[in-house]
Amino acid sequence: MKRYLLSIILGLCTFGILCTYYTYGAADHLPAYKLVTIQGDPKEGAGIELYGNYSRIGREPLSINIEGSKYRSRETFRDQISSVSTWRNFSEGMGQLIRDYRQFMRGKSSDPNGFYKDNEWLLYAKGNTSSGQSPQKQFQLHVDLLNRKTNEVKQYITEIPTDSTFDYIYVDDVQRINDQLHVLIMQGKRDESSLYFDYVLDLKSGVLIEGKQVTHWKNSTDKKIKIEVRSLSNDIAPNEYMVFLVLENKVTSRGDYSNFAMLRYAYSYKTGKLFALPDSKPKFNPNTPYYLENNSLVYANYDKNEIQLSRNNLDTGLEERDYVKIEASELGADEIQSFVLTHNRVYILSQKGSTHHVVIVDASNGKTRYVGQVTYEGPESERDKEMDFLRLYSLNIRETAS
Amino acid sequence: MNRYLKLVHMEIHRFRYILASLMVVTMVCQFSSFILTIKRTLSIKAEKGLGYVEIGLPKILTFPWVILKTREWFILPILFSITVLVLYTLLIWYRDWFGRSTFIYRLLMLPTKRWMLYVSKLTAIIMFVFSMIAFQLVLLVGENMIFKAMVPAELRTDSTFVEAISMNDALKMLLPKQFEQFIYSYGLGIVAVMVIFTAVLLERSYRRIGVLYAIAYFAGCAVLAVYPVSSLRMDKYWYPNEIYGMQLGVCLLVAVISGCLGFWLLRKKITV
Repeated sequence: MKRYLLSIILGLCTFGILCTYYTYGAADHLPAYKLVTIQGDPKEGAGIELYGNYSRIGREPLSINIEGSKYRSRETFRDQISSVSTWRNFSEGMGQLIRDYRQFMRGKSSDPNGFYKDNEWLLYAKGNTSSGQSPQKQFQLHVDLLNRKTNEVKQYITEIPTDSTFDYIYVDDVQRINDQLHVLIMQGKRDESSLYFDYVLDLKSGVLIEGKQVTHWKNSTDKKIKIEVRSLSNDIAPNEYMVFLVLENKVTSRGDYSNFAMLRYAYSYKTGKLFALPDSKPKFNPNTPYYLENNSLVYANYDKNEIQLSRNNLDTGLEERDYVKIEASELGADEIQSFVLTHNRVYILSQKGSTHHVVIVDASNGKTRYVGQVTYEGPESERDKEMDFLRLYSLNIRETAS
Repeated sequence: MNRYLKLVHMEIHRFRYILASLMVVTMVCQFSSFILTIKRTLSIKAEKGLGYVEIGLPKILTFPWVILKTREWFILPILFSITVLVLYTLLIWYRDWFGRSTFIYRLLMLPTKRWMLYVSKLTAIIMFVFSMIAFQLVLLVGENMIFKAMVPAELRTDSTFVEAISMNDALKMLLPKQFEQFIYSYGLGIVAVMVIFTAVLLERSYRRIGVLYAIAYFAGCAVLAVYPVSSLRMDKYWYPNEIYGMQLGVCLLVAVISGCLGFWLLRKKITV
């Protein structure tokens, strides 16, 4: 036995130390936080995810929701693999689609723009560029249709006649108008602004009915003004309209850009008309958040003290400026830290002292729907100290399973 | 079982001086840099006042702060130990062939199953790795005690053990916070050691052409093991839980193939 003493001691000590470490030492003692409902329906706050750091010694990135807090440093290999799908949860309705139609969604979920969903249909269109043997590039639309009532799946491929000199081409939006499928294609060349085309297909057969160019904005010939077009759709939900935000950028002497104007246009899939939205010279901010739902385009002007909502009625073209005003003082906060405009709601993260609040305001009438507060889940005596170490910066709206 | 334990003991016994040397080098590097950093900091504080603050020098000292300041002297011995252990994964076989009096003759003639040689060497390597990890934990406890002994109470604040580890990337990698991650990291390490063992046995069995077999086998296993996380994750066809399952399955498959092939080579193909 004495002969083996070295191995026995080494084995026992190693095992004992590692067991002790993972039983007691590896606990990080990081505080737990939670978003607690103070007013309103807790379901309203179910999808809110707050992001920030716990800054005591070093910085520990964390996220907080109504279930509790998650520290990034606690993630394992399994969590890291799952995090690749995190964006899916934030993409409108994509998580629910994956849960409901797992096989249909396989391999498609990386491209949320190609989806369309209504009560009857779930549609997906994907572009495929092939040059084949000829030097000319050919563009094909691969369309997958799922009838949600019968669960019948159908596919077709439609050849799209395009200018073959494009450098890039994508499906930007898909909509169904009666028995027609509208696929909005964005294509362009390097150093030129993107062009948008609406291709109309027969929903049942996939036959191309017509294709037309929707946008015609181009950079100035002397290349001093560059045009940047951003499209805004209602994600996978049905919508008759598509909105284009046209940013005019001046090219500076150093070669970079400075935004100086933004024009807004709406395109109606039903009428095939593109029209400018009234421009009452709002405060220009290239990062203005926009939200499109049905015939209404809502946007927000903001600073740390106030959020002002304005909207355009796309059917009538009328604009309502500052129809809702949300002030930090009304929320009982020192300042508004971050907000998200979506689902006809304004989700606001605000701070007063070391207390963080989340307020959800109805974007249609400005009424408060929910108030939540971030709380420390631990002994009351340590509450103030632990809240001081918490820094929250932003929020996002996670799609919930319900 | 008894024979297996005897073989493991023999391997540990043969490596004892190298293991002890690695521990001493690690201890000397870490302790000396740790003590010198505290001394230097305290002398600055003594010279300029206890409340003196400058960039990189806080008002109140913490154990994690000293770990952060001495990170290079922690990482170097850890890297050195890893290098030695990886090299020994090869040497543990070759020393039996090329050492004095071709020890492999005696090992292969032992009245025991030959696969026990493979398993005992694997166990010994795992033991060396875990004993170095355990030793590092003991060193951290010692360093924390030194910190408390050297720094006056009014100049320091308490911190958790994990906070100190999180200040150094090498320590974070060696001692994952979650036990689940510990299983993944060291499980993958054990699979890698098995692949190396089998590659060595391929070379020993087929000699010159065996070198090519060994390289091809190692490369094949490496590609197979990284393929699910690198490629499948990118093409978005598979869902994350499927990729996770495939990754675990592939690693298990590589381990089983390496083990079975290694046992078969030892039993049927190995030549002295």
